[in-house]
Amino acid sequence: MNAPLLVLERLAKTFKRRWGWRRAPDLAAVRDLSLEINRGDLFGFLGPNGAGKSTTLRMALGLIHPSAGRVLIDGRDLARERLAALRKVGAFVEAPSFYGYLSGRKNLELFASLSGKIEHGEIDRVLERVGLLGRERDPVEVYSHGMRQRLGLAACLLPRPELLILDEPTDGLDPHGIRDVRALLRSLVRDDGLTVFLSSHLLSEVENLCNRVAFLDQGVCVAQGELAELARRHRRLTVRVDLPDQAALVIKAKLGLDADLLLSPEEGLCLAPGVAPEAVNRVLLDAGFPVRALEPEADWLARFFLEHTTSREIEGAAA
Amino acid sequence: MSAFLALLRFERAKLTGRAITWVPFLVLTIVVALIVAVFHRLQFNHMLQLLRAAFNLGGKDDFVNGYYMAAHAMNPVFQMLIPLFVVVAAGLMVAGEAERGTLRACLVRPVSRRALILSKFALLTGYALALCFFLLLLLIGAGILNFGTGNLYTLNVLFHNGNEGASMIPEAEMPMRLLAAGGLATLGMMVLAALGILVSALVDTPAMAFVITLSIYFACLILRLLPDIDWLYPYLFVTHMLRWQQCFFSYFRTGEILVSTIHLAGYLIAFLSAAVLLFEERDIKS
Ligand SMILES: Nc1ncnc2c1ncn2[C@@H]1O[C@H](COP(=O)(O)OP(=O)(O)OP(=O)(O)O)[C@@H](O)[C@H]1O
Ligand SMILES: [Mg+2]
Repeated sequence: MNAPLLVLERLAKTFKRRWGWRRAPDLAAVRDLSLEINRGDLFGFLGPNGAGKSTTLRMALGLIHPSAGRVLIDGRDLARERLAALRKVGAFVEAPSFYGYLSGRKNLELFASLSGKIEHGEIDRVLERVGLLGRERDPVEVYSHGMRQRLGLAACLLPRPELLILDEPTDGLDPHGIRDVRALLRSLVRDDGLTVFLSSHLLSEVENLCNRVAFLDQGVCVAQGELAELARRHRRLTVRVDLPDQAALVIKAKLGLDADLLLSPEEGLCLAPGVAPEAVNRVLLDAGFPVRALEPEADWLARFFLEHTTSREIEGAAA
Repeated sequence: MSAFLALLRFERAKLTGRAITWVPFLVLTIVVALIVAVFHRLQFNHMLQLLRAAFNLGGKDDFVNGYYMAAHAMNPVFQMLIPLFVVVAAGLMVAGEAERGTLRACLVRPVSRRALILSKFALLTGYALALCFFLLLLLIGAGILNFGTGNLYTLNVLFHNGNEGASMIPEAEMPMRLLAAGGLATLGMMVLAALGILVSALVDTPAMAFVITLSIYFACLILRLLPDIDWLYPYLFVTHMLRWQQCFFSYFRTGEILVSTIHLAGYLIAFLSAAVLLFEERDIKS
């Protein structure tokens, strides 16, 4: 029961390329990637454009064959038992796609029929959950982008999967939609016991939603772990206090920590990650410094992301 | 088995739900109406002269009848119009879905790639059958209603008989001959459907699939028209696809027709197996 639900084991994918008629150097889109997604995880897969997120998800779903490595879903090797493995999965890669000339409901019925029988009323249930009830008779070609995205989520929920693999699920949604989808994903994990593996480059989304994350850069996993643990290790602390330079000396003496002075005395001190706010508070109060505020760094994830990933398109990744 | 049935229902719903599926039926109806109108108006003087030299015919009504119209109209329609419809449907079925992204939406579900291709082929075959039978019924029905029945007189060159002159098939034999010709022509369309699925399974856009499949088909047709390469004909699948024409020779050549039937079945199995094997290995990148 404690075995991971989805295991990516030393996955790699190299694409052959062409520039016009000429063969170009091969492109290593994913290199030696290993991840484990446990039951109950809401796992965020982060990386800049072109990092290889969608390529990884395609491999995890058997759409493209890995150049090396393997994928296990609930212990089943995707290369050998693809059908049995995929029975537990609801997924879309890139944008969800549908038959535009058929109604939303018909699309759901048809796609669900590929995975097995669904119970009566199940379609209404998922339409309700994604907020499309009332529009399900319209042909999908008249749906807006966000409505398609919602329908894509609805399709993933039929028939009752254990694992959702979603490529940028909130892409193109309005603020209501984003809020609804996040609430939906949370409730699926908490109330229905699902496991979610989602890719995104929206940091706030991942920070709000996920308990575990992995960072992909140029096809390589550069960091992964519990979000809370990463925060503990990498989130800085800002201390607002009068006489910050003297307070810094106190912190150095009592806690052995270097504290950087922020630009203006108003702004206070910035402490390196890993320090417990209560300890700083106690030390400063004991020394008679009234602490005005202790603020954990707000955009630490963005800083972490920028520090650990490159903004350039894959360069020098040619194998 | 139930998974395959689900796939068949899935493909059927997609095929019948789409407007473009029904256009060919409309086109065929219009074409047959045009043919009937033309047969009413034409004098066939040149034809009559040739047939008079071979048989003792009095006028147009002696040779223009429903069977005559059906047998002569089959040729262009089965060589050009129906192949076009089948190839377009084949291109849309796999490459079209790859382009629109619905192929990957199917394949992230527990669906075997082999079953997917086979179910698409099954539906395409059903579609080709429907088109062929629709056309044959319409041609023969409209022909008989407008021009009655009678013996079939044909010029041998029209059907690549190899002989000069003309042939006559008695009226009583005609239903059987038409059935055989229609059946064989339909089998030919199934082979083209298999080729269409094979190409469609390997390319990323339906346009590419149309161009490649139609090029293969028409290139073979052109090769068959070139003189002095008769030795090549038996190896071209279109030779066997067009073998139904022999059903209108004065002597029914059972042997040759059987050989072509076997060839067609062989091509069908070969194209389809290749489609399944190559599609299993393919990366779905779209
Ligand atoms: N079929 C292909 N042939 C060649 N290169 C490809 C192919 N598919 C993807 N790539 C390359 O692989 C790399 C990873 O692409 P991928 O789509 O996985 O990125 P991504 O992380 O999903 O990016 P985004 O955030 O923009 O969606 C890119 O450099 C891309 O150009
Ligand atoms: Mg992507």
